[in-house]
Amino acid sequence: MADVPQIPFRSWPRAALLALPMALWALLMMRPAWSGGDGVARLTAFLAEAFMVALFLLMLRTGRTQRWRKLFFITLGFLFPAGFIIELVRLRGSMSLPVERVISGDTPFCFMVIPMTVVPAALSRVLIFPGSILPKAGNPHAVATMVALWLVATLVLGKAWCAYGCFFGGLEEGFASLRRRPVLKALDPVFRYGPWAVLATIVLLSAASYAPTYCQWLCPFKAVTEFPEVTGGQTLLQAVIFVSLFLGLVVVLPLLTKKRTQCAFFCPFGAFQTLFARISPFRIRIHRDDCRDCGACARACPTLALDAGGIRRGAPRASCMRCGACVDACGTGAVRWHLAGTRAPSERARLLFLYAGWGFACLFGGTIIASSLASLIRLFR
Amino acid sequence: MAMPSVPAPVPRLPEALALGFASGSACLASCGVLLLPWLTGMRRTWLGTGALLAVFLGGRLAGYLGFGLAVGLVARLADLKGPSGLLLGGLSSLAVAGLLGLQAWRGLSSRNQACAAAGGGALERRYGLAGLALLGLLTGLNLCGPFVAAALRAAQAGGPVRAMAFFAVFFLGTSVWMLPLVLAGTWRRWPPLAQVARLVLALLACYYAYFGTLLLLARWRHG
Repeated sequence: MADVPQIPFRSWPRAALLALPMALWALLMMRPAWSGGDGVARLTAFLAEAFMVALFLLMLRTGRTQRWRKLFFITLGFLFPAGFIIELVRLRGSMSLPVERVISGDTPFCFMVIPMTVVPAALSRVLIFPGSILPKAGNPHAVATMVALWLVATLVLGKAWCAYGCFFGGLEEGFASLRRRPVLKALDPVFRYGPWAVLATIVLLSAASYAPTYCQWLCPFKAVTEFPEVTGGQTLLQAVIFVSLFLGLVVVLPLLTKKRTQCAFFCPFGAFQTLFARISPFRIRIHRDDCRDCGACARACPTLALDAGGIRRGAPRASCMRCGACVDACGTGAVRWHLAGTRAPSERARLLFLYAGWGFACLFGGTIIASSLASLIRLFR
Repeated sequence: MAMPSVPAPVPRLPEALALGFASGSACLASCGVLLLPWLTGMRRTWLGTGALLAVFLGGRLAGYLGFGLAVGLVARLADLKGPSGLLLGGLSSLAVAGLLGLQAWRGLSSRNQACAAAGGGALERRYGLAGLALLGLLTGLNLCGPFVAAALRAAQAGGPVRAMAFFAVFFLGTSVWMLPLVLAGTWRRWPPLAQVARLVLALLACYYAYFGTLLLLARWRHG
């Protein structure tokens, strides 16, 4: 007997009861703001966590995942750079980073750097990033903090980091949501290998040059965070590359294709996370008996992880980030959540995944939303 | 026997081997950048990949020996850190970029797998081996830190033949690190890897073109 053929619908009391653990978790996340923050910090922490709990409640009530996750993700994607830029300008007076600040190790550590640091660290025990290992005053975003967060999230969520943890993907998801229909529909599948090529290139070049190549030359999000101060031809070229990649991959192509093109065609960290996709027990499966081959799931997939071949095989590619878009798009309930190694009903697998994924989203994205909101409010006060 | 605390005035061959082996990981990192995607893109068995690697290493050895000869004859190493080093580095980087770009373009322009495989075979038949040997030669002429260090020692070897012998042994030390690359082609049964390898070649071509241009601009500014 096929389980859960259609999107489940829960009553408000039952949904609220299931959301209670998440509300308690969110309260825990607010604790630092309540104990040590000012009025603004407390207010924004409350707003952010209430927002997260409300979205979780709606996920449980409606049975839909992607619609509510997207709302959180876009909010995070636009608020993170806003808060980051405000803090940069407050601390340094500019978004550009002078060379002496780079050398002093004041650069906030970003998870994107992790794949580049592995080989040089293994060969020579050198960390090729000018950040501090442990948090310090003025730079709480240290290497140890980010690596610990990444490790925990990756062990539990695998590739779902890209849908529930990444603070960059929301920008392109936002731009991809602006149009009702895509203008560009035929995308060459060869570009799906782009993230792997970028990953291989930056790992090899970083090992050869002992420098974080991606940060220096290829990161589109430098355009909305921080970048080297333009002092000559090389730094000017770097700035031009950052802005061009950002406009092309994060703004224009998502608008035209309604896909997360930076994630699908370029992001090396996404490829790196795909290596750990099998660690997480949470999967998406397509039950062929219920499938009508309408292709709605493939069209809904924001990163081209699902195509005709995947539908025939009954599973998306390893690059699937568990956003839930395909499950929500399926009219027959053929696309379902699955907990590897068990026969758990799909809605139970989804619920368990959401506790893990949304718990991490509250911990990471929720606190970023709160701090960015606080920065914005302080800016206008 | 205890090692001397300072380099001996006249370099000996064990020193070349030790120097080569010690700096081999850097060579693997820099040449692996080129070789790994190239050999993977060829999609051969490990024996075939071994043969290709041998061709590459042969070219590399020729580059080392040629450089050793030049060092022994001219012994003008100080200049190699100046304008002529910039010129040589710039031109060799641009040539590497051209080779990589051509290989990537030929691979990517073949759309389906059968054509891609045929294209790869044709490429190899037409200029693949010579291209690989040339790539080895050009990477053998790259003036990285350990290479310049070896050149400085070889210059004190006392003549071109001894300098060449020093470089030949230095080459052996560095090449030990290249041996695992024999396995690169055995992943050929997974076609996406060849596509990825070709995209990597395209990206690296951009990098080397940029790097070569920077060196030539520096040479131009230097006068």
